[in-house]
Amino acid sequence: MRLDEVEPGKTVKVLSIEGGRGVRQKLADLGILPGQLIKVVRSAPLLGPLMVSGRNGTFFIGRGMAKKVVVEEVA
Amino acid sequence: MKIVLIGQPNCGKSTIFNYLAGYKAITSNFPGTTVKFHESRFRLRGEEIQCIDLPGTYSLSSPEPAEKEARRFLINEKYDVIVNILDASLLGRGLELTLELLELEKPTVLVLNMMDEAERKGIMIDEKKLSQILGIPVVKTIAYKGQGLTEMIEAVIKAKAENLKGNPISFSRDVEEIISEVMEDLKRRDNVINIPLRFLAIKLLERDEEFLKLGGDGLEESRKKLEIRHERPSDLVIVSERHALAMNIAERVSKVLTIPQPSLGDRIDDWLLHPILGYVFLIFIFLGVFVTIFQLGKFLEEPLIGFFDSLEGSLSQFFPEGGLRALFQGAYQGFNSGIGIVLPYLLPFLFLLSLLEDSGYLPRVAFLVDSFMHKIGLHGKSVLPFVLGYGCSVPAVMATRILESERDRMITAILVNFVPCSARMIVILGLVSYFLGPFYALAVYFINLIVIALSGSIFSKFYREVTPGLILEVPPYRLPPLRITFKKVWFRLREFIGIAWPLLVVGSSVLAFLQHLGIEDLLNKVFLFITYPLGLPQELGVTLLLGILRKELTLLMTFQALGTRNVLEVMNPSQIMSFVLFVTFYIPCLATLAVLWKEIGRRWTLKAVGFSLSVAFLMGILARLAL
Repeated sequence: MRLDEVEPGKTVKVLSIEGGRGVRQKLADLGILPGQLIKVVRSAPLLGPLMVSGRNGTFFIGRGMAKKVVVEEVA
Repeated sequence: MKIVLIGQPNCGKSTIFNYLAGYKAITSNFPGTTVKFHESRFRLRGEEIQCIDLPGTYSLSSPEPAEKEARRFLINEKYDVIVNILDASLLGRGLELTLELLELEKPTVLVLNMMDEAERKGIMIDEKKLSQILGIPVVKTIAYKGQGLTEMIEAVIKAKAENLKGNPISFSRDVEEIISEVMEDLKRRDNVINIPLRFLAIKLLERDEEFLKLGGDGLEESRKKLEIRHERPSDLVIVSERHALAMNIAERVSKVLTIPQPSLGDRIDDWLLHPILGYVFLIFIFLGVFVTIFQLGKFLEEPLIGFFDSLEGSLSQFFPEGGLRALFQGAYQGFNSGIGIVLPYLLPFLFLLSLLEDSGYLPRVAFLVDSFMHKIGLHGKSVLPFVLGYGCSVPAVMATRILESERDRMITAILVNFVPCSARMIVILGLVSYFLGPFYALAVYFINLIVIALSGSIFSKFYREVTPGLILEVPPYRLPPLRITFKKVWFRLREFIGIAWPLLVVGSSVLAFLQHLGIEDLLNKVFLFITYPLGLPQELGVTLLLGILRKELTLLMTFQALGTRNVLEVMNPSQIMSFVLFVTFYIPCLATLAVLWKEIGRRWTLKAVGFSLSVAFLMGILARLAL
């Protein structure tokens, strides 16, 4: 599953990140790294960005970027 | 002594800088307010201190231009002490940067800022233990209250005197092995660059382009080893290691006393970021700002102008009829329109802009409008420079540095010039709103938004590229202390008082004198190519020239040129609209041109000028035809 498909309110575990070094670095700066848990708090309408929170704070992330993050749901 | 302030975005570097140096850097509650260095010298405890405030950076490998510049400074420049500031409520994340900074092998002080926010979240930090682990002094501060800053300076002096460079923190054994392997390899080469070896080795393993350029090829084998063992790209291996280390240290030195409850901010977000209500609030907040500025401005303007006008006749009598009196009258009008016309609108505007910036609402606007911005080929983050543009185009153009892609930066920098800055706001309110009513002024703003959106689509048709998309940290909501808001308003107001106001006085008296001599007719003839097709009185020609110096001049010079404050006597509503629309879009002012030139280069600046002139003509003529 990709991060952009996660329903708001759900917490997921990051499995891997697809994309170049720039994208990886950008996401890593905000704590989106393989193995980390993050929660999708809400999403903006009309395929707008997601609001995601994790141990490294809360941030907005666009759908295009979210598509590159492979995640799995945690119970 | 030279010290460098560095830390992740929105951790309060500039607040600390301002506290030490006096208010010299704009602070706001969103990441990326500082995009260039601020520098200041001051004396503290008998010591001459030179302090540099660097743009916020998440890590020393961030791809954003402002962050890269911070890194370049840290590596190439000479300084004595690194002052690493972090948001104590995000200790783990902040420490990731700290670990990287320790690799630079410079005396360092760690500042845990925003202790009040951390305590509110129930986070207790044992700074002594943290100091032991890292081997550098650690101090706790609450910067906006000035708490702990004396201790900070003492720690800085101590770090320099005792050369406290900290303990290198080790990664896992297998990673360390490869790092030493690379270091050995680098040692054998002759082209030693003046960079700490371990730092360089790690950056090369991370495949950092800037260091790869300096050499360091032939390390592919080491990287491969790392990648095979960890089953992920080598840069991710290092970043993950650092992340785990930082989290581990954070856990050892801090305790979370309370289970975090949904905070007030989360509940506010439920309303302000609501899929429908969020947009209703957005519109109301911006309309509210507009109406407040307009009403307050008008309320203050009328009595002030009345007062100055009543004095003019009696004061003029002190000057003999002729050139001298014309000069005086011009200067007097320039002077009093500064107080009477500009300040009434500018003050409430600057005040509200500061509140908006510091509240933390603006990044949320980026969230709300991101999908609309995609329609014009940009993304939500461009909203920040746009909103700043309502204040002044100069910082707005500089703020485009927070965008990752060069294409986004160019397009945003050009479009940002169309956003009516506070000086153009004076023209819109003073001419359109004052003579035709506030709805017409709102219409100008609305038309302006549409033109920006259309121009955006045109540009993105020509410069197709998939933008990397939005990624933006959400700051907490904050109510800024009034003291800081006032300082910020004053900081921006000084710009008007120091530069624009004197120009108003000089410009106004020069124009009055030219009129007296009858020379200004000649200049007006030159500008017929604008005034004629737009159907404007040709006296306005010279005001357009002065408007390039400072946009406020346009309004005040209009009164001067037409010889009356009651513009309706000589211009009909259609002419007023046409004129104001033209002024809103035509050439950016001198200061903006200068910063554009620096930020996006000559070619793009010329493009921006050509494009804005054409749009201005088009809008002016459309207004003439439509009304």
